[in-house]
Amino acid sequence: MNPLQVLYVDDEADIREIAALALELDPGISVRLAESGAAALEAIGAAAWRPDVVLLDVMMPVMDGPAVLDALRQRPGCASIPIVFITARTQSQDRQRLLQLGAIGVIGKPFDPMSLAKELRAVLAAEAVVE
Amino acid sequence: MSDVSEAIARLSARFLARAADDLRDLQLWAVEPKRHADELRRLTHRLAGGAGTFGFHHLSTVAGRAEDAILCGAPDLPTWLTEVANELERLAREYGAT
Repeated sequence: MNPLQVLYVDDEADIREIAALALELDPGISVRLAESGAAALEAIGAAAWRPDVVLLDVMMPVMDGPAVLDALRQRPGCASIPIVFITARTQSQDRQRLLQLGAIGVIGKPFDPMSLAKELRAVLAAEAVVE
Repeated sequence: MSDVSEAIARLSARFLARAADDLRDLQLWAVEPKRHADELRRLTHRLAGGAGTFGFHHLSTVAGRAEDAILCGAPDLPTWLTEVANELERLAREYGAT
């Protein structure tokens, strides 16, 4: 079975490093990293690679998470890529706003490195049930 | 120790090593919080997200409250910035990062 391809996008290098290690505690997950919205769009545009899910920080300089989501939704072949936002702003109205933008889930920051992969799997499972 | 545990320990140390610099920046910007709202928001956002991941939960909480206060223009912003500064100072002192 092919591993779940996850693109993790965050402008904080230390958080990217922890997230990659945390996600790959799940042997069924393979992680690529991007340090900005532009880098994420470039990675997704690379030939022969399409993530199964994008884990996307909300607040990033220049191009924030919602702007990346918007750009993906307008790109042919990428509109259906599931987006999960990761954010320190987890009040219900913030979560609701992000879900209304088209994300399938929101994971709170700070995250527990030991359970990040499980949280992501839970979001994906809930989405599959809804579908 | 797992790769994740090793990384958390290493990155926590790096986070603490920055605490004294973060404290200096915060104290500088807090003098004129409206003028430095963008810098303060970036700093408190980074602390809110990063501190908790590395185990510094109280700093994460108060930084999140400060970020909320910046975004809302809340009158209690100075209180939360003081809380963040106090916690950064405590961590820097406790872990010898100054």
